[in-house]
Amino acid sequence: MDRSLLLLPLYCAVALWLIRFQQTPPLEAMESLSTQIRSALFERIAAVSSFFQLREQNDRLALQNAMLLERELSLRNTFEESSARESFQGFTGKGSHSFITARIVDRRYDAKENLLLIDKGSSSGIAENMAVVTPDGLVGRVISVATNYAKVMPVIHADFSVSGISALNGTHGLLQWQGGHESTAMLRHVPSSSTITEGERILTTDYSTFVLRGIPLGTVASVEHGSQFHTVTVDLAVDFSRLSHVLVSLQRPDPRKPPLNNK
Amino acid sequence: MPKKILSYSLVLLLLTLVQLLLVSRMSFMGITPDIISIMVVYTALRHGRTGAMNIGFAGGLLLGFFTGNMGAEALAKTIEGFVAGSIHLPEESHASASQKQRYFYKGLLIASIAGNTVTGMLLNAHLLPVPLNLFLTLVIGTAMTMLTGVIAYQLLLGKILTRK
Repeated sequence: MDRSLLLLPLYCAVALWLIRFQQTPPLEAMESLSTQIRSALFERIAAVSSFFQLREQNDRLALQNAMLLERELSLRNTFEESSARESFQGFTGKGSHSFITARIVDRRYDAKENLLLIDKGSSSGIAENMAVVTPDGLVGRVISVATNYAKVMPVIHADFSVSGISALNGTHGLLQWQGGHESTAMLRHVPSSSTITEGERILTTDYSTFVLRGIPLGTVASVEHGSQFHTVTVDLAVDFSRLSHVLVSLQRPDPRKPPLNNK
Repeated sequence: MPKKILSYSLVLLLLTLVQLLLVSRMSFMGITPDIISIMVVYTALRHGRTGAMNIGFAGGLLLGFFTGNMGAEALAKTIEGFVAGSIHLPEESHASASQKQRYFYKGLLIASIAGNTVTGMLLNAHLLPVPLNLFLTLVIGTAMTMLTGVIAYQLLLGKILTRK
């Protein structure tokens, strides 16, 4: 009997088993290892292809961006909120934000995978579920961490969603990428009673489990009125095609905040 | 035999790195050429179906290890190896250079169609409707892989295959 006819079901069974159990701890640990190796390889290549001075300059500029973003968020918190509301903010109202600057060593926005790899990991204090931003806005969320690298799920990922609020009239919605173009996403669950209009800025809210409020998500590009909900298209604040450095926010929403379903 | 396995493993590792580090940068609409498929077809032509499936499965696992899609890549490339196995030309076949070339292109075409059909159904990072994703992966993926295959054959594989 032809050996290939025996091998075919065997190999297919192993492959299907790997697909079925992709999210289990041993395979996730293997993925973390592959992230580490792959990032290291990409970093070597980036190091060869980039000029040393430009790289230093980029890092310095990124650090400056981090400081400016800290300052901007601090000022925004100070001026935009009333003192009464400040007393409820606790954790987020203190105006101190700290970021780690990281360089993107690999990115994939292809038909098979949407992710970013950054050159900072657990050794720099990065942990899962930390927010990743730029001065322009939210980039994504850390989903797995190796010692020196971390994998970031960008806003333009099928499984990514974040709560957003209109800066102008306070309309809430859930920002989700619907596939297709990488510069637009949809703000879902916006009630038809809302007066949201084109051009309004959408920011993150306190509802999020990983990102602080006030980080720009994008600008409303169009509103289609529906019977129950509006269909809101948002031009994303971050240009994913030009990302080279990001800031990882070490500060997360108040961990003491109980979930709504906690009795 | 162990020497042959070692040399094929090294070539596979090298091609996987080239696929990840260089070829993946040449994407069109998020789809890239697949040089592992070219190796699978080359193996099918020289060593038959079993060898092609072994290379396909190992190459798929290796590529998937780095991309996070081990199962899908291994499945696609195993099926590519199985399908491409139909073009096996034994060394004693005395096939002419043009016959070998024709067999290689034919094998690459059917293997690429089979592999892209599997990945088009299993992997859809851009969240396109499944039929559209399948269509784009099939048409663009197969075209890009064929183009790369033609270049690889003209530059290198043709010389190896027709060497006496």
